[in-house]
Amino acid sequence: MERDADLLAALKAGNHHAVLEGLMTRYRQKVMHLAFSIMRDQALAEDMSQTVFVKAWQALPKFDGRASLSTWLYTIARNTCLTAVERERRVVPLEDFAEVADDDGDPMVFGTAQAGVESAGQAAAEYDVATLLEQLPEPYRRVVVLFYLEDRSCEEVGELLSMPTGTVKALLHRGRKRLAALAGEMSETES
Amino acid sequence: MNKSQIEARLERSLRNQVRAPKLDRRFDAAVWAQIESAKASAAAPAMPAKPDASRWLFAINLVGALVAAALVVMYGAQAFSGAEVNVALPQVSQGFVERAVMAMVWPVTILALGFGMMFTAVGRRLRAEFF
Repeated sequence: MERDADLLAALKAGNHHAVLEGLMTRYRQKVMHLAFSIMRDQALAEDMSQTVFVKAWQALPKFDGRASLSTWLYTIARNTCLTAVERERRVVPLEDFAEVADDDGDPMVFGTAQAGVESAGQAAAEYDVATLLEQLPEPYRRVVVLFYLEDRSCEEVGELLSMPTGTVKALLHRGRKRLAALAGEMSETES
Repeated sequence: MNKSQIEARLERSLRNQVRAPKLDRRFDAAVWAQIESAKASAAAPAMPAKPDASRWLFAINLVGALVAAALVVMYGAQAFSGAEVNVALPQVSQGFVERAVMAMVWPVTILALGFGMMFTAVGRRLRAEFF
C-alpha cells in the first residue's frame, strides 16, 4: 500500500493487519528518526519505535480519521517517547518551547559558510558532533538532529514535532548559533 | 579559525555524523512478535489457579493451627483462671490398639507414599496427563 488513502480504505474494511503493515512500510523510518531525536540513543529509539507501532495496532480500531494517519502516528510516537524520557527527567517538555519568536537569518544556510572557504587541512577534520549535541539544550538539540535526519527539511521536522515551520526555523537558527559557539570553544581547546 | 570556517566545519560534521539506523523488515517482524506476545498474555488467565500442593499445605496448616489454638485455650484457661479442665481419655484395651495400628499402618504408608509421589516430576507429569 503506497498511499494513506489505500490504508484508510483497508482500515474501513477492517483489515488492520494490512494497515499496520502499510504504516510500518511508509513510516517506520520517520518514527525511528523522531524517537532517536528524543531518546538520544539508537537502541532505545528502536525499542520505542516498536512500542509505537504496537500502540498504534491497539489504537487502530479507535482511529476516527479526524487527523491524517501520519499525524496520528507521530502523535503516538511523540507522546510515547516524551513519556519515557520525562519518566527519567532527562528533557524539558517540548511545549515549553512551542512559542519561539522568529529570528533573523536563514536557518537553511549556516551563516555565510561554504565548504570551499576552508583549507585542505581544515576540511579533513570534523567536530565530534555527539559531544557538541550533548551540550545543546532541548528543544534545539531535537530540532537540529531531526533536521539532518530528515534531509534538511524544516517542513518534515515541523510535521514530526507538530510545530509550525517558522518555529522550527527559529529553533534551528538559534540551535546552530549555540552549536557554533560550542564548536568555537572546542576549536580553541584543540589549538 | 574564523567564524565562517567554524560554521562550515560544523555543517559538514552535522551532515556526516547525524545518522540513525535504517530499519527494515526485521523491525516489522519484531513489532509483530510483540503484538503476538501481548495477545498471548492478554488471553492467559489473570489469576493462575492455586496448585494442589499449596491447597494441601493450607489444609494441613489449618488443622495444626486449630489444634494448637484448642490446646492454648484449654491450658491457658487452666493456668490463669484456676478452672479445672479434665478431659477423660477413652478406655481402650491393648489388643484393640494393636489391631487398629496394624490395620492402619499399611493404608497410611501407601497413602503417604502416593501423596509424596504426586509432587515428584513423574507424578506431576502423570497428573497433567490424566487429571
